Amino acid sequence: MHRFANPGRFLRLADRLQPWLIAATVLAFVGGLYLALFHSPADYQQGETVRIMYIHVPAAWLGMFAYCLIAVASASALIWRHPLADVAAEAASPLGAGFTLVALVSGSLWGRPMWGTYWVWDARLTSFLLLFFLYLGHMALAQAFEDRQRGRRAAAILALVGAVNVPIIKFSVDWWNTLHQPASIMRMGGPSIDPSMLHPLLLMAVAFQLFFFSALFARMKAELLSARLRVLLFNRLRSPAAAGKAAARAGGIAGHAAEARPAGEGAS
Amino acid sequence: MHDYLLMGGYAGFIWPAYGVAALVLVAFALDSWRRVHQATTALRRLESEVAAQADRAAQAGRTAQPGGTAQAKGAASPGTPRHASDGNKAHPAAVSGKPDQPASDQSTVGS
Repeated sequence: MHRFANPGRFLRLADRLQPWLIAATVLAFVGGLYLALFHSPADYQQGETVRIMYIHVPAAWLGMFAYCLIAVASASALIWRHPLADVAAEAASPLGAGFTLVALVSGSLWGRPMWGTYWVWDARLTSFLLLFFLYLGHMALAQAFEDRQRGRRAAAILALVGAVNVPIIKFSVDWWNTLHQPASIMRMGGPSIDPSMLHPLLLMAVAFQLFFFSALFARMKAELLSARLRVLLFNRLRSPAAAGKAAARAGGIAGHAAEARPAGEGAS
Repeated sequence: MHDYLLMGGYAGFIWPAYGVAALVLVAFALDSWRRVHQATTALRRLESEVAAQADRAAQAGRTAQPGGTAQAKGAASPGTPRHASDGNKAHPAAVSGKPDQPASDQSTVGS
């Protein structure tokens, strides 16, 4: 991890990986959607509505994954002052919120025909809605301070405090009587779901995961470049000559882009 | 084909679910690309400006008296974030190029 604490090195790695990530994402979605919408069977009880599962479950998994990533990043930022950790947490938060929203909406649309209701305050749904609010709070808190660094620190603490919600979500269907079904994949004894449905589900999950990392790297790159922009503007206000020297020493984006260009990609 | 789209009568639930997911993913993709594009363009423009100014200042220093004057403090180009000058910023010479220096500012490109 510490090898990638250098933002420049991270940016070079991200630029090299990005075309592959994007290509893999597209391929995974094409394959996943084909399997989900055409090549998988309807459920004997739920009929065609089972196809919502191929959106709902991967989105929910990613919503939880993103929060775990934010929690780990927040701990890194607070304990070790890892320079990229804050950037990663800030970039991941809207993505996690988006996936959580998709899971909530798709779950609602699945619940109406199957359960007869769009919503119920059972433990799984309630704790997952709380996860969505935690994301919103995390984003709002980071922006609420004039001092950017204090905002990120406050958001990091919120993220760590809220991390207890993740195992609650996971085990809610075991600890309480819930309308939401218990685990069918990540359970002792292995998945109880038929392979003809498991494979499209896993492929869609891979597609969502690749999309998440691709978008995360892009947002982190944008934030790191913006930070460099702020430094240059700050220096320029103070002393133009020093700003010029600083820009030359930092290598500038021209130098960074020149290294990335031989990889034959367009930065996304 | 029509029967397929009807999804056994559940079309009103299935297609909106896929639609919301597609909307969110496309929105993220576009927003991420836009952020990178804005930051890259602004940074490139600023770096070339700053480098050009440094060249001019260096040449002026060689021919005339040393010490750069305030002549290069021109207006910030449009589209780049204004740097708020408040008392919170106590960072001297933040020339390392590390992120988060200076820590406090009001706006970022693209947010």
